[in-house]
Amino acid sequence: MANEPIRVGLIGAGRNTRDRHMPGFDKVAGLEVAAVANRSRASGRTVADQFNIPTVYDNWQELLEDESLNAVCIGTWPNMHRTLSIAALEAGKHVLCEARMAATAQEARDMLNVSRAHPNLVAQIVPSPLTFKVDPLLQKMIGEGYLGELLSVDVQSCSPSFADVDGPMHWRNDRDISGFNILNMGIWYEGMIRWVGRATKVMAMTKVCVTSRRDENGTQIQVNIPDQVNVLCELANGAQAHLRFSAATGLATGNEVWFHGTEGTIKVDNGLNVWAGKRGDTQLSEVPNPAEMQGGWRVEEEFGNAIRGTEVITRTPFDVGLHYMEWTEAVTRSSQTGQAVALPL
Amino acid sequence: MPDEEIRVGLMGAGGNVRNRHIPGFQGVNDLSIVAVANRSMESGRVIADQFNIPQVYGDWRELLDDESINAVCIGTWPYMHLTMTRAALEKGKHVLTEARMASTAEEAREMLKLSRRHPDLVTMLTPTSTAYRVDRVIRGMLDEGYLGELLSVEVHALQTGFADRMGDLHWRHDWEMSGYNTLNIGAQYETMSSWLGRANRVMAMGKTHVPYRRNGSGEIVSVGIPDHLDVMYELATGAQVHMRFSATTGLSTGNQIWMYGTEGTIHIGPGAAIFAGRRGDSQLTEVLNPEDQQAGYRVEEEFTNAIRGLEQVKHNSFEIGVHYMEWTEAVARSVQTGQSVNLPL
Repeated sequence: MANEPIRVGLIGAGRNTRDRHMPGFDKVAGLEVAAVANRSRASGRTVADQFNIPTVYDNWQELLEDESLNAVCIGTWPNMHRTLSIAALEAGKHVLCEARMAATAQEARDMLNVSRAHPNLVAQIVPSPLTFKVDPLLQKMIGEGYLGELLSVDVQSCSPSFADVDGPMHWRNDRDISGFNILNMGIWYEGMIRWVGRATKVMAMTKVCVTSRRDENGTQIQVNIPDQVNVLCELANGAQAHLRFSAATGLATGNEVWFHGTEGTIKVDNGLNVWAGKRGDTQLSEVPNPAEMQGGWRVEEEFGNAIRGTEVITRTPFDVGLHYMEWTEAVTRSSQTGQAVALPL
Repeated sequence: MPDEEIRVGLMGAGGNVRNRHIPGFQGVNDLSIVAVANRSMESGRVIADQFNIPQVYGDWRELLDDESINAVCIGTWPYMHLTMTRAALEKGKHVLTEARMASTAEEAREMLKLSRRHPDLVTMLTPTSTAYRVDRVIRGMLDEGYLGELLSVEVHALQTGFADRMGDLHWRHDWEMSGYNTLNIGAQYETMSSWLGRANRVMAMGKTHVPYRRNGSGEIVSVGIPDHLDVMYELATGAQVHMRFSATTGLSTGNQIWMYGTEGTIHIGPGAAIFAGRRGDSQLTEVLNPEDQQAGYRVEEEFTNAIRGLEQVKHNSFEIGVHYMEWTEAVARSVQTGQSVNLPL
């Protein structure tokens, strides 16, 4: 299997596929992007021309019937991920699927179950790359006990823009497309669990600040996805976490993560610089994070290696995706019911 | 009545009584502090000597029997406030009590009920002093609609030391003394609600990161009060507030408040510096708050003016105290049950 040729079909060629995966696939030896099925033959043709992809299919069903393909890259909106991933696995193709994993926890569960029925096939969700730069350093420091015992975590990712009251409807504002996914909370939570592990209990309050938006025809549509979220979590390790996300926090100072432990404190600032201090210190000092320490994008390489049996998927396997989808859904359930929601669901 | 002579008895002479109320009373015309009852005769005498108070009682009940006294200042820990207020009102004395109002919401409601049975007597609850310096500027900005519509608020009330494991048991760690009051939550909420309005729903998570402490006899006792709390609450307008209180966040950035609205943002930073910006601004800029324009401390003046019929008690009436005690208790209940708690209780 070591140098097995990998022939990838693209299902949905959204921006991430074009900007990230295509260049990434290009670097994998013996991997060819051989076919594409997009929203229409014409939009498929456009992508094929741009990237010299030999075959264009009218629809994804035909693409999956192509026995010369042994892998697919799913680049559609989240509401199609379950349908396409399951069909692809059942057609015997390895799957690399865009994030977020799915629209709901149940869809993610279905995807995981089918992937387990095909253990010979690789099933990978595109990971959140947001914190790659600091993931290894944080994992190392926390793993080596810099903090002592972790007590609390605070994650903040707030847009510096004021509420875009006359803003357009984007697919991220549309629950039919995005499901329970809200803002970038899933992206940050996925990062957070790499450093401090999973949540076992979730309490949340959410708000829709911009309550209606214009669609492409200028019609006002009611918005049903929140643009402001506060989440409280109990982590499996006993620590307490707070996460805050908003698209309507004008002049906010940007992203920030704090870890407080019995013996030490670590902070990640808006530039992804890491600062730390211990009991006895008077202030935080910057922690060197040399390039060789930093994580980086290697999604397509990992996909190719996993297909060839030289690597097991860690960024991001379906079971981790299921967990973050359950957490994502728990946020909405808690905000709707006012109750703490235990994980797993 | 405007020139009615006021003769004050002190019931308990804790720090705030010595530092604030006694000097405050001494500045009021036709008022004398005539008696003090402290924890013991000796501790009462110390106060009497320091402040030239003619009479010392060994027991606060004896002080209340003194018919020459027409007003009392209750300066004990919260758990005694109901008992003393009831007795004082029954003896026909006007009452100024220290904060927090009581140990529990039920005690606070009882105090309010008793005060209503004696409408001829003034009852007043000492307001928190945490936000005096910025109060006038903030109220001014809020009144003129600086924020537009309030969307979210983030409050940090973070101590900067690390968890003091095996530290001393302070009365604030002791449920018997403090009831549901913990950290500074009631005082902070008092300030926030006076600026922004009342909570109608509360969700909270808390931890006791220092679960054992040494009491006065050196014995190890377990601590039932949280020392780390995340509170989320919703205003009737739909705006949402998150507050984080902690005694275990070493090297934190201390106390800060961010208020985000549709049109403007206000930030109160460490040292009570105020920054603000509106839609269109590229950054927050400092708001000048000259000392001569800051709100002045006038608690005893308000109390005595009310006794003389010159003004009504505003800061704080017992009714305000009941609300913040209910909020405080709602926080504890939500922490215990994982459920949202509606207000009023």
